[in-house]
Amino acid sequence: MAPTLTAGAISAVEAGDLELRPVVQVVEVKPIQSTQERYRVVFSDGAATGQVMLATQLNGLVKDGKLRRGSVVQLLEYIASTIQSRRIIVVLNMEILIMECEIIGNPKLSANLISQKVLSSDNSGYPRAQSINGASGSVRNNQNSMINGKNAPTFNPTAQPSYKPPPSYKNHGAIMKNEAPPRIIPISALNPYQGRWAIKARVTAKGDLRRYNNAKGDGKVFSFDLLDSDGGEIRATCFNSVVDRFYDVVEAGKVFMISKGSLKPAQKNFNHLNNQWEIFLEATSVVELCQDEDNSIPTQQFNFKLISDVENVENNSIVDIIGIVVSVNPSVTILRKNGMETQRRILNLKDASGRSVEVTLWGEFCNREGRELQEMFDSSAFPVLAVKAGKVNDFSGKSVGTISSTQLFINPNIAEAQNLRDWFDREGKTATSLSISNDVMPGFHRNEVRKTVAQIKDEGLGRGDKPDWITIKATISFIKTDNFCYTACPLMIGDRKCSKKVTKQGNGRWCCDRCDRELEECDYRYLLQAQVQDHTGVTWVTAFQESGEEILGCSAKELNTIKYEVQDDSRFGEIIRCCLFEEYILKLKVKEELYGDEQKVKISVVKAEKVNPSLESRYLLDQISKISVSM
Amino acid sequence: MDTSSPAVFANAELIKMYTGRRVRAVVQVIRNEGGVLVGKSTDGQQLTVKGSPAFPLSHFVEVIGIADGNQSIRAEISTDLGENFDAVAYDGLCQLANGKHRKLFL
Repeated sequence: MAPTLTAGAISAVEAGDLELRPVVQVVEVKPIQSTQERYRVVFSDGAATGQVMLATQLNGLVKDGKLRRGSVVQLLEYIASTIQSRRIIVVLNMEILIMECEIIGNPKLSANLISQKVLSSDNSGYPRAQSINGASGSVRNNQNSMINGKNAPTFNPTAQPSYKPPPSYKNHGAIMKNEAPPRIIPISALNPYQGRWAIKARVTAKGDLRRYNNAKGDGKVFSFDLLDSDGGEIRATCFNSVVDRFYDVVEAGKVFMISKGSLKPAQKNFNHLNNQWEIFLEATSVVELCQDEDNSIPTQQFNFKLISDVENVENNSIVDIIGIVVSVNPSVTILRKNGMETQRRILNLKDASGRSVEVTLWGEFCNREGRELQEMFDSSAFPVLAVKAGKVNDFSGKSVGTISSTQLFINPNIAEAQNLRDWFDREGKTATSLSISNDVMPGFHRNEVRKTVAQIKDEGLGRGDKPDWITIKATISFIKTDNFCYTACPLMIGDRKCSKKVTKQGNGRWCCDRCDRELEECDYRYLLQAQVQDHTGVTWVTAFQESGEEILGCSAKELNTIKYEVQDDSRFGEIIRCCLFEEYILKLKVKEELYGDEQKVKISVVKAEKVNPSLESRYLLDQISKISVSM
Repeated sequence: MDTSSPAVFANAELIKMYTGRRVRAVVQVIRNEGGVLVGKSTDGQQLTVKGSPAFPLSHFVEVIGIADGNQSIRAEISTDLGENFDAVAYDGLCQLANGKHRKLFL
């Protein structure tokens, strides 16, 4: 004799009827993946099926084998609760009427059963995006035709806007939204044309509440940054009354479900996250704390640069860096441009790239993290410091300073910190490192581009629109001694000398075409053609007045006098010979110019100085350390 | 040129590794005591040089000799390098010569 199942029980229970006490049959019993022992049961009323969770006090029924597929039971006590904004029915008490029975009727399995992994997420944390439609968390059933014939399935949010299901939840217990909750999508998929969306993310930074005053009056604003399990980041901003709604709700480090905000282009001046959009929350927006500890969302995301790479970064860029703190200075009070006083602390970080950098802490950072670092340092610990969103400053070498959105992490629990610690203990402690923040080494030529003679040709330097400015280390192997200088106009045009070639006239005076004047005396300016070479090759360069003097060590006028007036050839020869085969650091301007009908690459010497062994050694040590980096 | 016993570029820290072997180090003279010179090595630590003549204070002196025990060298050859010397660059050289690139030197 087949027992009678309560017809329509499934839809009634899902609709909220908690007094029904229906008789239903078990279609499936499954343990869910969780630290806690818990079972999920699919019941049928003969036609439809639905899922419930068993309260743990009923676990014994499953374990003893009393409750299994086919069992007919009467649900005596059950409740509906919201977990992660989904409605779950939990059975607290049931009576087993028949333990074993053939399946009654023709229960249709709902599409929910197909993506089983999803349900198990209820208690065990966030599954990776493996469900059908690729969105993490809830099941998408829009495409599934099985759904259309039924009311909204119990546990999973329903399809999107076009089919607004009739309000499926009444005010039983937890607060219910009348509409089906929107689908959760990855942050990286957010865009202004998205339609309804929801994201689930951890707050990685909570900004300060800021008040402002503009043409429209007073206002207040605050922002917070979000990170989801796919690593996508985005900033959310609230203005005025919206601030009141959410300021206390949002907590750094916690996970929230956010929806119904509008998407606008991100303000790159303030927003340094890797996203072209920003969320603006409004009065209708939803920010809901997700109670479950979601381990799939990292607490923080970094994009660390090696300190040696920071040297090449543009001024005012925002970077993340991590290093061992090798020095901490006390706070000093600094007077700012606007008359306000603030605190500043300087510390130095060292990493495995053979470089160290100065990090400047401003304001609150000095008192908080700064003091903590000072104490750790004084007790001979060398802490690891990670800086997120620090600003690069090139006032004196390259240094990194804190800005309002910077975050400092002392000894963070991440792999890079551990690697640094290991490196430091092994070899880093005693390894030399050059600071990228020092102006102390004069003429260290931080911004110079070092090339070899061969590279000038190989890399086609000078062929672009603008001239190439490079530095080479080379020896002068030959100087043309005919026409080493020319007679030049000494008159000033503005703040520069005319210097155009002047021609001698019959009356012994000089005439300048440009200035249209006749002059008694003229200047002598160098026009040295010289051959320079290094280990890769040889090339001709032209040295003008300043660099000519630097090379030869005397003025063009003097040299001219020696050669032509005094005619002291041996002294002349001596001066020239002295600079040959000396190593110089030459700063060159390389540019292709039209000569007659050919394009020729012309190289002129902008600055020449003898190699300073100390500076050059440091430069070479620097270069060597760069080759040896591996991190 | 006698290459049978090359002198290792060393500073006070590295000398510990080469006890009994020939090393070369540069020290800045702190004081002279009879036949012993006390100087500051290029890594900031103190080094004692035995059997060396006196040199002017704060001059840099290159000492080639046998490392014997803690922080001291039995000098064979000492050379005055004057007052202008880049200790940092020399120390960098010591690190490289004893670290990754030691095969180039020994």
